[in-house]
Amino acid sequence: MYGLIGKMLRVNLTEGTVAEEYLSDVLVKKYLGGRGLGTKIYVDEVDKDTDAFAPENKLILMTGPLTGTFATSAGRLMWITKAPLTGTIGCANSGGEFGPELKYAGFDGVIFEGKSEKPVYLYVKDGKGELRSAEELWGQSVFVTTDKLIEETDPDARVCCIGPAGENKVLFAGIMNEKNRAAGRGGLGAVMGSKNLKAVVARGTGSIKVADKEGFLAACIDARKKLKENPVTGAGLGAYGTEILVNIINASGGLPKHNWRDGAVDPDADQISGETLVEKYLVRNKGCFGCSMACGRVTKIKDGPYKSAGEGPEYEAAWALGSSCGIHDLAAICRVNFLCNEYGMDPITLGSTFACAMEMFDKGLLTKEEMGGNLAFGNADAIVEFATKTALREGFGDKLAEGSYRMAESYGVPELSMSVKKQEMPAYDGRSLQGMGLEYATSNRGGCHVRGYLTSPEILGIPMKLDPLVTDGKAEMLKIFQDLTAVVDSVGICLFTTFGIGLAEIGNMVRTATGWDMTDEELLATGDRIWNMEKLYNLSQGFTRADDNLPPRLLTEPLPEGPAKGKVCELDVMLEEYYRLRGWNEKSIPTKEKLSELGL
Amino acid sequence: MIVRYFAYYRNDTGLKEEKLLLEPLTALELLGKLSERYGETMRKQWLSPDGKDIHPDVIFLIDGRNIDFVDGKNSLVQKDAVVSLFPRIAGG
Amino acid sequence: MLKPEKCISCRTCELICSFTRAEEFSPQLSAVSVIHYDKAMISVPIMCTQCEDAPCMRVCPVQAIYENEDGTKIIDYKKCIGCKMCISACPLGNMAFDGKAVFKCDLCGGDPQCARFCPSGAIEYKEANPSSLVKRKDLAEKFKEVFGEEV
Repeated sequence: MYGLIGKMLRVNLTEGTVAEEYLSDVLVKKYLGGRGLGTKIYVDEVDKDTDAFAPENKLILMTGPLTGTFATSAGRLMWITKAPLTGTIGCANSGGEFGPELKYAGFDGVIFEGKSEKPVYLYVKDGKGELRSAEELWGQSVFVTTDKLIEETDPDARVCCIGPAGENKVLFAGIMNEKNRAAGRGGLGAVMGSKNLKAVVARGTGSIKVADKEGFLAACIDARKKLKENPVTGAGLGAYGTEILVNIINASGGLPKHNWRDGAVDPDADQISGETLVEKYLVRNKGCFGCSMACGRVTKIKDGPYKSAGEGPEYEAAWALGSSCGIHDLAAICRVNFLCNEYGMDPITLGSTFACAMEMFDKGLLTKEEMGGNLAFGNADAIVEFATKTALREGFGDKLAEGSYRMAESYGVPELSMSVKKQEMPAYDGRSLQGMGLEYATSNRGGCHVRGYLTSPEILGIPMKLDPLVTDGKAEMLKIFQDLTAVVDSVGICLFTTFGIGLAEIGNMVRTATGWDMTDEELLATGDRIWNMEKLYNLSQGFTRADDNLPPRLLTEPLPEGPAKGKVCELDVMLEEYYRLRGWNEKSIPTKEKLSELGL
Repeated sequence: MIVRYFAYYRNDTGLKEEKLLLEPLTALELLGKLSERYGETMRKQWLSPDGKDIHPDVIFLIDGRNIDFVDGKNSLVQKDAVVSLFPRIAGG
Repeated sequence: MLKPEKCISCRTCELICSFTRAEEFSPQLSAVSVIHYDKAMISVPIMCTQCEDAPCMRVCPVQAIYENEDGTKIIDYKKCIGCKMCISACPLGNMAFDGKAVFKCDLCGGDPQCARFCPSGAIEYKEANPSSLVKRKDLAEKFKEVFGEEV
């Protein structure tokens, strides 16, 4: 096999066994790798009624055919399982260097089954996988765990692990690699914790081969050139990171304030912006494996009450812990972001859960006594304090660890959770960016922005310009974005490359790497197939059209100010058109014709 | 009117924001005036070489509305408007 | 010319070096390695420094390492017997073994690919100027900016 290695490891944690398996050519060509292949294996092997934390549940790690090659930003890997937070298919993507290292070690991915009696980690080195005791590491942070495992195994090893949040089954615990890269959303880290699996370590001195060497090199050089010449990928992302979005989303009236309660225009947004981070705390930017965009932030707060250092924050984290919580102390936000990396926890859900609690506190539904602290809008110290309490499930942190929906529901106010399918929506108001409202409602893993990033055309005008305030054309664009994103997530490159290259360039790299005879249209159709496969799984879990919805606030509370003043999200009209274009009936069930067209 | 600068426009102009007393003018005209003030480096970033169009790498918002959805380069900037200028960069 | 303060730790150099040399992707086959320091928050790309008085050249028992007209130290594989003495001799760790033969950076025959594709300019290929002069000029620039007349 070219691109992919063609081999997987199957680890039975109950029995303590590690076995090699070969990948099927047929399956690989139909699902590509990464998100597609991992999800296919998952839905085929796991009984639909299996609980996320049951030993029968499986956790799959999968790279793509381009991971570890010279392709643009080709460092990506995917974790797949049922998401504890939402109950939907859960699929979280991460960058860094672990994915390539696993392939150099001789494997495209790993399937974890069962549950280990005692904490263990998997060590994969040059063709061999071995389970080792992680008892001494249980309870340790992501940073300490990573350092110790490198000491124990190989100075050049790469480590994926969970922190205390995953061990404590925080419903939004993530799986971290290289300490600061995160497969963050949905709580996949909790599944890993439920299996007593602490980490995966990889060290590989092998190599990846491509089918058409000259062709692949030319395809990569062309794609890299385009990324370099594009202002976004060639300069903007590296200079300012993702937080550059703070000011433009705010200026466009889309930065939700105070748990989305007080509109989406934040007069203090600049204090938490990418520009301010560069000015005050940035040491340098950093790139994932093979990446020329290098949007990563290496950050240091030199003094003050939040003195700390680490990586990040990204835009979504800065908003969730910032504007949504009424906090504008960037140092405090950075500190909490570093804590999220250290504990292995999603800052988007964490910040949004804080914001929900803050609104409930404002309404008198929560008291300081009950919370054991003052989790109020604007209290920067509180988010630092409660980040730890949440990761460790201490006191009120135990309730926060369930995410905003379960927490709010337990007090009888689920409508105060700004979530879709129980996952909190990220940093774009669906009333000012109508297309993002549709994306949140239809994303297969709940409130998520990356699955169909319409912010790009709606605000940045890339690859074309869409008016954020209208509903026309959004459904059509969203389907294309969702399908293309599924391809990107399956071949192992970073989604941000799509600011500068498109299906044609991706198709060229995939074809020359793998040798597959596949047109661009066929490649995009694969994305459609993957999307529908995920949808079928969600339907099997009891999700219906009613769940393709938004919180009442977005549907009934018009924005009070800004360019989108007076607007709510006009979801219904977009949703109808979306189902039609997807080939689904009005109950959001794919028709027989659609399924047979996709070979499902 | 208020003009707000973001990203590296801040480095180049040395400002985050400034207040201007101007009669209503089009978006293109405003960028022309600002280019006169800030010089050739900015003119190259803000305008097309012949000066008849706004450079495609500029995102121009009037009170939060992108001029692409108002009247393009001829969009009118009122005396009390807030103009936000961004170079075309992104996030995620 | 190395400017580690610009290194973004992406390891693109390792990828293209390995592919240029061996037509495969493997950092193990690359003549350049990026060393990352977590706490110091810096990464440093390291490759053969083309020593003026190269220990690898001196130690080779069959004179398989020679210097070309650019001053690059090149391995003549027709002569090399694979004794690996050069690996021991290099004080900087820049001679390696790929399972079949010893290898080092040979500047890709004059068009080093790592420099070509380095996204941040941490690796640059420039005319052989004494590097101190280039760095002195960088410093002088700063004085010019602060104290010089407006240009």
